[in-house]
Amino acid sequence: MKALIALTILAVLALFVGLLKSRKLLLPLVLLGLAGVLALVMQYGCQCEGTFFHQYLDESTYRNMFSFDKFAAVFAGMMLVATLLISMLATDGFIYNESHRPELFALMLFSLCGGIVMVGSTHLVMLFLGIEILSIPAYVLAGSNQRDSQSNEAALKYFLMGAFTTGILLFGIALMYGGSGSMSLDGLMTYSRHSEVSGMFKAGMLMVLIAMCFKIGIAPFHFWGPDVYEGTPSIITSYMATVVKTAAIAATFRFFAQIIGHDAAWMISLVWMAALTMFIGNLTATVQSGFKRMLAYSSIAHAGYVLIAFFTPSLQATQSVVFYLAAYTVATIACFAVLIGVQQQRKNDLFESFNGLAKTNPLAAFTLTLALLSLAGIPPLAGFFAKYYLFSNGWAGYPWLILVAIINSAISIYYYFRTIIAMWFHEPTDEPLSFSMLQKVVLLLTLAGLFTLGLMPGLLLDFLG
Amino acid sequence: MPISIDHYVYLSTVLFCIGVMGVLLRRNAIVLLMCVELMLNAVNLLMAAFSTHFNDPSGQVFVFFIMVVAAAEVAVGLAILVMVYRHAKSVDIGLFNKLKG
Repeated sequence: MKALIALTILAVLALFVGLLKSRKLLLPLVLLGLAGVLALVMQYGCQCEGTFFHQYLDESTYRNMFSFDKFAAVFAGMMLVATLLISMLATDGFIYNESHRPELFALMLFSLCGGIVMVGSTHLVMLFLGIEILSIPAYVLAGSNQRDSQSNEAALKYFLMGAFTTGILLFGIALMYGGSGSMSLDGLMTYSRHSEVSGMFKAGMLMVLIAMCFKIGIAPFHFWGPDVYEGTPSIITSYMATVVKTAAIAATFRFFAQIIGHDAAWMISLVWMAALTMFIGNLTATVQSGFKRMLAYSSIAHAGYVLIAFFTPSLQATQSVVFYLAAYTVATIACFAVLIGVQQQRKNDLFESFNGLAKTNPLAAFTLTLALLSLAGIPPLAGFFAKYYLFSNGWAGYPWLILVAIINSAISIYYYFRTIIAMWFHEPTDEPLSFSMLQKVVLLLTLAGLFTLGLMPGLLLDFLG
Repeated sequence: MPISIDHYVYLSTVLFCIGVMGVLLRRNAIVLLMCVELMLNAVNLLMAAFSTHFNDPSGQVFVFFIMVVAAAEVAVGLAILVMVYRHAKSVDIGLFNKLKG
């Protein structure tokens, strides 16, 4: 909770820096502030005992509204690290709107506050507020490149989809409330397990689930994703693909792994959706000509993989979600770090723009290669172990889904290798790219992250209990 | 005939469906925004009705949260619409098809 307050104050401070003439203070302030908040979260996370979820109805859960337990601390930490890395890219990333840099930072931090509210929410009201605090600044950020008609279009689409989804979510919440007489996770769990569940409650749950699938981008509710990801400025896309997605998956996991985890009828429909998501994400990614749109489809596919953990709710499943999202976040940020450099200097994101990057920019090419290999799940990188934990835990639930996931991982290797081949085996067509100091730091940090998570997965897993 | 909770459920479901149909069928972005408001207000009605039904104030408090958030959302939405209108000189969502693949 302290972390949340500190983060809000940090965002307000970032706004005030905008009033000063000199803005040199801005980046150090944001980076130090985020590091400070991260330290608060880590310190709190180490104090929590082994279990991920608080036993509800205790003083620290703010009357059952919000519980900053280990689950929330782990995901909050992950989102803070992601935002920290993205802020380091922002010197180059926000170049399209130089005059509003402090406001863009502040919006990103406000949005992050919403993400933390979401992962800690144990009440449907808090879930709703968290989603809105996360989304409303994100709509503005998506349209922050006012002069670019693609950014405008992305903002409009994102906003209309988001507002529509909010309506569905709220009607679902109202029906769940009408069915059970309660809106807290505690009350909903008791109701869904012990008594005859009413049709109204089921209808409400279905609508809330659909709304969350919209937010995460699970097929068949994923169609807005690629358009929005492509039109949004890359730095904001990296934020949407990592932080927004992590928050939505974590919040859905907290609610639904616990409420419907025992009900086979719900599960089987979600299993089909997971399989569909993987196929649509991966197959469509193979036919893309732009790197960014390919990443958008690959992020849809990755959300499909994470769904596997929802079907066998257990401590290991929770661990595997955390590990998978951590590996995915690190690799995705590495991809966007290179993409931002390429887009700025080549003015497009076609695969041809990556030609010969290995000769001209070895560090960027090496990092991007490893990040893509990690996303594809090649050992010994983070993505391999993440997939291994996820699949081996999921085997107990639906073995055929794991087979589908493995087939899909194989498909994904095809489109990840297109970029890798362009970088290593094609001759450079343009002069070398120049990466700023901070961009190089981000590349090195993500590289270190990919290896650390892959070679020493114990470090994170021990922390998770 | 006494008005039971069911009547409220039916009324707000109808209102909600009108809103959903509007979002799906209309092409003007401002009308879309109005339809989303209709959806949210259907929820408000339902929440207030359930809250009275259960004799539990939390539903009514939620209504206030929804109102505040809807206002914030509309503020941002209209700002985006103005920005889009400056470029395209139209708010017809059929015109927005640059992003495809």
